[in-house]
Amino acid sequence: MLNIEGLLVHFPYDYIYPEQYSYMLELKRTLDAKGHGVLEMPSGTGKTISLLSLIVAYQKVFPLEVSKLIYCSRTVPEIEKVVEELRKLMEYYSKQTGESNNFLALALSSRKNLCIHPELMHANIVVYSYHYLLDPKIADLVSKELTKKSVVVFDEAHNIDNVCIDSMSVNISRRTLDRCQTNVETLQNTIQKIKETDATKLKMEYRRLVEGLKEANVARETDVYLSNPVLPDEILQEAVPGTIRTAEHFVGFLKRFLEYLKSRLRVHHVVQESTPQFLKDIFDKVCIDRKPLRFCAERLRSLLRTLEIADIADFSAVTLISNFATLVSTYSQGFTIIIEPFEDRTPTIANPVLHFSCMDPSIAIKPVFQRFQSVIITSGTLSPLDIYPRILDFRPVTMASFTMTLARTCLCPLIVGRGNDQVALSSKFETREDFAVIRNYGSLLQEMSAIVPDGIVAFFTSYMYMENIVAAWYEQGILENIQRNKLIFIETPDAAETSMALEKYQEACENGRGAILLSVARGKVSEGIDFVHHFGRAVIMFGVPYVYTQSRILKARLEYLRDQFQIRENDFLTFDAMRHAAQCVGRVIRGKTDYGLMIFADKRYARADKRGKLPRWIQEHISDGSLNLTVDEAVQLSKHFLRQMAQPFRQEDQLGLSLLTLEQLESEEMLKKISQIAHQT
Amino acid sequence: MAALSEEVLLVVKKVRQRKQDGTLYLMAERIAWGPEGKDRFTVSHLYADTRCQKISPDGKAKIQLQLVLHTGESTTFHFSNDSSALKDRDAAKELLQQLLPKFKKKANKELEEKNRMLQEDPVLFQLYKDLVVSQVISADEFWANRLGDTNHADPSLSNNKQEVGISGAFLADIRPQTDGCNGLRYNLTADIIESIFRTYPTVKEKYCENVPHNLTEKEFWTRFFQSHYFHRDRINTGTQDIFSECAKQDEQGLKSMVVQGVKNPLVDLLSLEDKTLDEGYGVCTTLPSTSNSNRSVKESSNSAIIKRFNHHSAMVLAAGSRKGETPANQASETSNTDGNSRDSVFFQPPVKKPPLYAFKHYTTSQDIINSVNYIQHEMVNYKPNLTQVLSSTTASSAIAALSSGGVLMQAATQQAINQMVPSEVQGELKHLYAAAGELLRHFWSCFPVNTPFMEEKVTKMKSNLERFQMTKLCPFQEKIQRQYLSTNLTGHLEEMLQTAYSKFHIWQTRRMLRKT
Repeated sequence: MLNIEGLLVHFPYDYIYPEQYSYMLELKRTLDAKGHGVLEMPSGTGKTISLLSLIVAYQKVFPLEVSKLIYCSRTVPEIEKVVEELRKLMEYYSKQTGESNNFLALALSSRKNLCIHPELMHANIVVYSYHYLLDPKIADLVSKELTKKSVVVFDEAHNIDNVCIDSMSVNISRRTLDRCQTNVETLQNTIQKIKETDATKLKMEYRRLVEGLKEANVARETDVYLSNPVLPDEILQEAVPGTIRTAEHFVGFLKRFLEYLKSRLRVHHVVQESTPQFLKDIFDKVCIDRKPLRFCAERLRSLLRTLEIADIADFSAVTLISNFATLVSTYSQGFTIIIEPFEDRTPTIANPVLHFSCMDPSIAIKPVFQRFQSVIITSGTLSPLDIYPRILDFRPVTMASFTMTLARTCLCPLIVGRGNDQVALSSKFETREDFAVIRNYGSLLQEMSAIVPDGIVAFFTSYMYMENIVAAWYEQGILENIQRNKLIFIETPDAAETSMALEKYQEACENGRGAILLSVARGKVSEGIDFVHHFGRAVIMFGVPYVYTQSRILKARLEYLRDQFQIRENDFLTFDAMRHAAQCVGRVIRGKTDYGLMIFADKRYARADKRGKLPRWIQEHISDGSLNLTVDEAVQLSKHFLRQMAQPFRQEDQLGLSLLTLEQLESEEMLKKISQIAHQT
Repeated sequence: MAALSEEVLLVVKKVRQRKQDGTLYLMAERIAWGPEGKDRFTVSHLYADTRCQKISPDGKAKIQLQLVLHTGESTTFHFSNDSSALKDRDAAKELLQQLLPKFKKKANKELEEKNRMLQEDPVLFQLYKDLVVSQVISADEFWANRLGDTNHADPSLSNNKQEVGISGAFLADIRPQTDGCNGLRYNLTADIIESIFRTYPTVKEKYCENVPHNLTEKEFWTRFFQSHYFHRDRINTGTQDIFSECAKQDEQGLKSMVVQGVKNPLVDLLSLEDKTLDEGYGVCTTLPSTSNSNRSVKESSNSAIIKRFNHHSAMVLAAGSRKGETPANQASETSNTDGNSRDSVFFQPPVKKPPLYAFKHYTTSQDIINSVNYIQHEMVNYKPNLTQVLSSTTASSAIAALSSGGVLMQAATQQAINQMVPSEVQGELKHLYAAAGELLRHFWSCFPVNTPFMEEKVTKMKSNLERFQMTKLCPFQEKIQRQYLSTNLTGHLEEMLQTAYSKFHIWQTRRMLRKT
């Protein structure tokens, strides 16, 4: 039982990390202020249980202030972890209070066991994936009736802007249009059939549409629904336009729209235009107005319901097109349309794609911030903190970064900027093919493979880059030499293949043989797999993982960020690269008893603008002496570090420093120390 | 002829041995050579005694074949028939190649066992040197009751030898060397071949299919190293390559492994995300298309290399753990929780871990500390069982006797020797004791002498003892005399030998009496 500024919190463990206490303090202040918060705390310091304990306690004490916790995480294992911690907390509660639990917690972890609203509405705690809240297509089905007095937590939120953007972006290829064509034909036939057998159904629908979407409007005004960004407020006050009200008219409308899109895909050069330009063009060419386009998604849904079509998945193509129609006619800003006749890499093969890209992550998340009284954005790596409120367009009441209190320095970040031959190491474009750099990278990995026990994970900036380096290393015989020390596994674009490689990698670490995993930043491994303990004793980041800057979509987004948010292109690119680098290296430290080397193999990491964007808990362990090392120097430091880490480490060593008992926590001196853990920005 | 009844498999004339012309005979169980014009074999080796054969490289002037025996000796035959020397040699070689392995297994097993015993036991090895190498007793006598003993004593010990895994870099060890004329030479050893077979069972299959019917061993390996299979970065050249099938099978194996999926949900990237975006949504869904048509040659060779490394590592790993497969044990994850929530380690779904062969799991420092604490705790509660111990008077008298000045400590030679004698002499003395002990053990084990075989043995043992005294003990005595050290050092040894001699005399006299 902890006392957090007057709030009594049941905490199901005997000991607590100082930063957990500090974290709960900040969290409570955020809830008190009924505002949003951005909190960064290293993984492995018990973020999840801190969040759960405090918010559950808050709910119990102030049931009228906060009635629901919506906990969003990214991957299935993470969701399961949350559920596990929650179970522990609930058991602890019933043991402490002696009464059976009257708390309803609900976890949605797959579309297969998708649950229905009533249960969701009554649950005190909901745990599910981001998409259920951020993707308008699902949020509308699952989350729209959640109460305003909810606390929303986005855990592992370092990529939340990309999730937002993804959920609002659409790509249309020729294949999509072909499938859409079939969909429309099926619709037409079904309508024809129904007309012959059950015409009243269609008439009923027509009447409903004349009534308009009033129902939805009432619900929204009376605060029952989470607003759907796809369905703008204005629409709700109007009836569905007459041009698409009857089913046949609507199908005809869809056909026309489809033909138009087909014509747009018949281009020979790249086209980029804004949404107003697109709307003007569609009006000029096929006389489609903006208004019916806006109703397209809603109208299709109604039709599918009326036709009682069971398997909506078959109609994914036409759903996609109508979603696109609604989006493109709703937002005049924050989106761009790019039509590319072929892939850049293969200019000879025609593969036209229409990219409708969202450039503004705040559009998708705006309803969440507006609707719920407290939204907490948290992750192990959220630096620099101030950029998230800017790109997501919200005003947090608290922003804090917590360090990891350590009884022993269990992480060792090293920046390797030079090879033993003094060649500058960098993955920057100009030296990307440089033989000397590739060779030096190879010797870094080779030497590390000789001194690091068990597992080493290495990340490359992109898949292409990794492929080229692996091929070069193969030719130079470097991989053979590495094989003398460890087995080599490599990530491939195929997820199943990579899963197998991962499993074998772990097996090799487990049985003492040791292994190396070559992987890619921004890949699935870097985002979702933890390399606890011996599964990762060292991580090497080869180069700075900048996103591929030649993409037109990215360029458009950068321009938008500059114009709308005054974020300079380079600042954003560096921020983006560094958050991925931090994600990669953070994979090896998953707790205070864990230890690992973090090797940044690029001289650019030594610069303040890069280094300064690393999370505080990593940054503060980079000393001036480890800024521009050669491979040999890094090896020496690593050896020293590993020898130290191999010494016994016991609970007593941590107690009072990085692990506290209740009494220790309550001491005056400790509370003073704790107040320094949170780094406010 | 020594053994006409034996089946002669091959006769090769004009074979020189030690510069003498003669004829080489390959028989069912041995190889023999007799000089020209003589009716007996001067050289005869059982196949079982032969470790291997070696042949002179092609292109050498002398065409030779050498047999290396397990004892380390070797015999060289020189094929001197001008017209058919090479053919003769190859015929002999081919035949030996088929014959030797049949005998090898049996001989090897014993030999390996002996080798292992010698390697693992330095004392035994010294004894072996003292007694066998210096020819005090024969090797057979030395091993006569040793092998049986140990086999009975601890059969599990010898079988329990840990299966050795395969080096991940075994292919790297076959460094090709240029032979100076635009060719490459690969050095293959039996170990590497074994590694290749264990890692790539498909290659072994091919080997069994093709060698020696279709290809010679050399041709087989030449093709192997030329194949697309070996050089994955090369693009497949054609279907006549016998290894293209291997590659296909490997690929299928890999595919089936991939299809099977992974057991550990934490590494399953496919089910990592709860809800992936539907097709068509998202920013960049234009993944690099995987169809081969629009990939450049370089790219597909790169991805082939990557596939190959994953496959190779998986196979090496599998080859290592195939043998020692233990029932899948729920390897407990390093459980050094520190009494607090731990985001990552904490959640451990019921995963059946793959079988491990080397370390079951890691002992963390916390585990060790815990177990030390546990032992300390146990020790505190320890209560001796006092009914089973000596009475205090007996104990104190024993202590008194063992203290300096006590009855049993008066001689205190141990210390004296330590200080008086240089360490090398001490070492030598130790070896002498061990050797003498071994011989005496043989000697005394003959009693009671009740079979003719035992009689023979005891006589032999006695002469062995005498020989030991003559060749080992006496020189040692002389040596220490020269160094003016106390001759008393060997007194006890001599005493022991004398006791044995007198026992022998008593026995002999009795036997004489009985006979007369």
